[in-house]
Amino acid sequence: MPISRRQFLVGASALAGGGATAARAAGRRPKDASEYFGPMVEDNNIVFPSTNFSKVDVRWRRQFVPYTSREPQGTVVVDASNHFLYVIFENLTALRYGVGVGRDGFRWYGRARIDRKQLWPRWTPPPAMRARHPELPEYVDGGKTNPLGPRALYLFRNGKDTGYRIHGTVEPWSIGTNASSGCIRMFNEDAIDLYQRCPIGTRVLVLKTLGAPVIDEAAEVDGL
Amino acid sequence: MRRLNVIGLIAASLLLAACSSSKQPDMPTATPVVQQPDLPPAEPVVQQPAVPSTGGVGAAAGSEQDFMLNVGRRVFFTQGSATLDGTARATIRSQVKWLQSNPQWKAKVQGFADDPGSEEQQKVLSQKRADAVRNDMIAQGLAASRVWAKGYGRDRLVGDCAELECKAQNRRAVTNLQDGTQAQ
Repeated sequence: MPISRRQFLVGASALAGGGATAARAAGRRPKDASEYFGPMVEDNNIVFPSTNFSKVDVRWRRQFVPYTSREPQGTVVVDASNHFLYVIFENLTALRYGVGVGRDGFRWYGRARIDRKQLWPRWTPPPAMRARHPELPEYVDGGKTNPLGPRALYLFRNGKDTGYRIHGTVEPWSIGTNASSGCIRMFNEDAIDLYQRCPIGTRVLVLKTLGAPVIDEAAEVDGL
Repeated sequence: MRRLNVIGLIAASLLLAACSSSKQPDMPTATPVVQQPDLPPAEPVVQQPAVPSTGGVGAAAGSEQDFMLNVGRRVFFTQGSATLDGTARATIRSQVKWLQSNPQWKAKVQGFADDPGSEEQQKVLSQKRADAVRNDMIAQGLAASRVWAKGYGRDRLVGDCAELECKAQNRRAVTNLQDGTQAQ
């Protein structure tokens, strides 16, 4: 089960307490939402709307940027506050993607590893969540209305699922924001692209922001 | 359809549960080891690619950077294997499509290994990996004269450690573009 009971309870209480806010944020579609979508495209036998990137601020689009890092090549670094995800390349370069994170920002920082990858992932609400929300289906099959989009990369630590994942989105306007749904959301084209670049075993570093001082490098290395 | 959308929406709002936990895993807070580069606020070099776009921006169509940005040079292998999985084949499919649209380039596929076995065995494995990519490119329609393959064994490690984090990056084949107008 990808989401622990405890995580569910915390999340559910967040929904109950700030429920109205959460629901409103989740449901908020900009008036021009339809402009964010381009022609239908097919991926692994599923037809879904492409992203109309001409509608997207260029800063959120996938691009190479200069980047200084001590992380080895291939590492995924997430800057949650600034809504960027980087894949470290050689020659002081990284491939940067725009991302969206949770409504209250990302509350979990640290190292993880991609131990599981899924095409058109199914979303299965935990039983406890379904008990609270009986209107929820047993599962949402992978497809164009599934909030995970066409790909999911599952973040594990020491062999255990953290409950966090990097995935696509059905709300492309939410990239670059703290929206209410999902963990680390990307444009579907970017989720597909990242999936291709990250083998099982890829290291992931989630940071609140880039550039914070290095506190204890030895501990950092030991922390792996 | 409408119902599906509603379900998707509810699902979307509930996904918050997985990502808003305030519980901190028992792990030291990550110490950042990166520096914020001086990034320009926005790259004005907007190339509007043919729709639908793969999403990348800032690379001239047909350039090496375009290949790296919108296609990707690498495919990965599991331990001891030179078999292409679905992900690798998808990348190769994109590579072939791009190479067919950009006939000025040839491709040199470099295979690498970081697997159990002797140096010689790794050399053989790395060659098999490179050959597997080349053969699949040809099977998908790329002219055999435009692609060649070489194995480098355990050379040029991306990361040197015993963990999968390193091994996974090393067990790879890299498609490097070569100027197709020059003699090899």
